[in-house]
Amino acid sequence: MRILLVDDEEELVSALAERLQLRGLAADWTTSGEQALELARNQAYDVAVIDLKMPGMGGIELKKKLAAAFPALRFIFMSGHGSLSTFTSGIGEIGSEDYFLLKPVDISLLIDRLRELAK
Amino acid sequence: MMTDKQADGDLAGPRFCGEVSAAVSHEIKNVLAIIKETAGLLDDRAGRAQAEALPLAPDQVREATRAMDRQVRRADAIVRRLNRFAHSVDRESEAVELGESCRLLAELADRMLAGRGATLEVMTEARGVTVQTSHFRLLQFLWRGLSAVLAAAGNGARLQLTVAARPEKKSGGRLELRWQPTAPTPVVGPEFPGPVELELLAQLAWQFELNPDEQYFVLLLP
Repeated sequence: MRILLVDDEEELVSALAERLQLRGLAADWTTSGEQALELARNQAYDVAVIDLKMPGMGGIELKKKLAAAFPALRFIFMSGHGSLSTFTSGIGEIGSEDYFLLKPVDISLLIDRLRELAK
Repeated sequence: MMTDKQADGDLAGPRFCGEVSAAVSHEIKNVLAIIKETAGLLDDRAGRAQAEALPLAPDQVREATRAMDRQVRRADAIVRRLNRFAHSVDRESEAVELGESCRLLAELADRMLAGRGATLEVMTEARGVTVQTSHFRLLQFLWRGLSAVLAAAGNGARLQLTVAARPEKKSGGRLELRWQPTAPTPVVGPEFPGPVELELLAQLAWQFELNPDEQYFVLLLP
């Protein structure tokens, strides 16, 4: 399984990627939607873990673009945003609240979700 | 029975507080997430070192402690900013230093601006321009104005908020917000001021001028 992590907070996303790598999972990271699209064009990913609220291209817009270009790609959203509208729009896009994780994310839960999606 | 307009007016202040609080809480969540991942990573590395009976590299420990220290300082700045905002409602009217107020606005609006890929530069043409007014209402008015301008200007706009004295008067201040979209856009003015803002202008004896063609608005405070 190869994972693409996208979050505008570099310290967060790089630490998360390394923690997944230490657990034997292949994980790349980036801090913008534009860079994520570029990475996905050059490398096949199984799951993209995307921050919902990012400057410029937001998580939902990125998810739509990735899904259109790579139909087999699965998604998990992360969010620090507490609003009902954010939750609703995120769930609406992702299809299940199981794949909508609130920050700070529990890494064991993230890995469980990744493994579910990879099946 | 309260009309919709009255209800909107009554809720405008609390709504503004809610928007600011939501933005701040989002930032704090990010700080906590970084601290959690950094601590978790350090723990993972320590676990691996223990399993391999090897010492944990000091530079890895320092990298983690410094990252956590940076985030704690970031959180402290966020909380101090929130505190300054919270105290803006302490008095109906007080001496407000416009440069400081505009810098606070820019800090509070940081997430809103970043979400649009926009930048806001605060400039002061004169130092120590102070007016007697409601600090909270001023921030509320400017926040609304900023939101409306960002919506009209589209993503990536560059904004400049300038503080100046009013040379024609012995007191008062002048705030001018100019915006520059990244791409030519139809000149659609921001939907501002709305009924709530018009009410504020009347209550606080502020004067307002919007020029959507030249892409600026001016707020004059007595």
